[in-house]
Amino acid sequence: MAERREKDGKTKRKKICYFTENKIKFIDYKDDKLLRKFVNERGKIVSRKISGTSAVYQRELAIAIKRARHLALLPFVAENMR
Amino acid sequence: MAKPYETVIVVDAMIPDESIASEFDAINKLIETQGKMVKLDRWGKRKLAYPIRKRTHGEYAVFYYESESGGLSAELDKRLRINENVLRWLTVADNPVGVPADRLPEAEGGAPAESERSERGGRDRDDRGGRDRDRDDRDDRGDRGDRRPRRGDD
Repeated sequence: MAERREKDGKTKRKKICYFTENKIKFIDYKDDKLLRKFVNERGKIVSRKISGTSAVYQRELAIAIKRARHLALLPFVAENMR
Repeated sequence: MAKPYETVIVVDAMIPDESIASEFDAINKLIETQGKMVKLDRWGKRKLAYPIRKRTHGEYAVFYYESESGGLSAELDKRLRINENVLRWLTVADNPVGVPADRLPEAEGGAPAESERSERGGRDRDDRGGRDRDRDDRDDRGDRGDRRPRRGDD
């Protein structure tokens, strides 16, 4: 993991896209175990900025999460997620 | 040209097992009238992420089939909509993920070792994030300038 010192002494960690990294071509809405990693404790979709997911996969991911929510595989709102 | 379809159906888990089986059988038969069943993947009973019509558990099944576009999914929709035992359903055409080969229809929770491994790897990375990670990603607040002179001194 490449770390870079910024001018102001903050380190920036290079983000990696989980899907590119693991060569996951298509995100399945039925795979709630996978999708849960991209949703925070509140059940909200984690932004690209945080997760490092590439744009292409983030779009696919968002659709998958929404489908999973419809099927009650994922919550729309959650106070506490496992 | 026939297209691959998949329909996930969530049936109320409170009804007796035989009725659950007959519900799925009925769907199976309907699909066979206008298409070709490829695979039925029953997940069994699962806790719903949120209650639907006061139910907390559902029986999940995924139907993989091939059909000409149009007719069948419309017919399915119509039937499922009026069926009180069906809590949710979703039909997707041309899902690039395709039919799972590793999962047998009756196998439950038998995830292959490989997916287990990749899952753990991902969790490490994600969990490490947490609150600290969020802070890392916050924008630079810039120079705050000189401190205001203290009052009350001297």
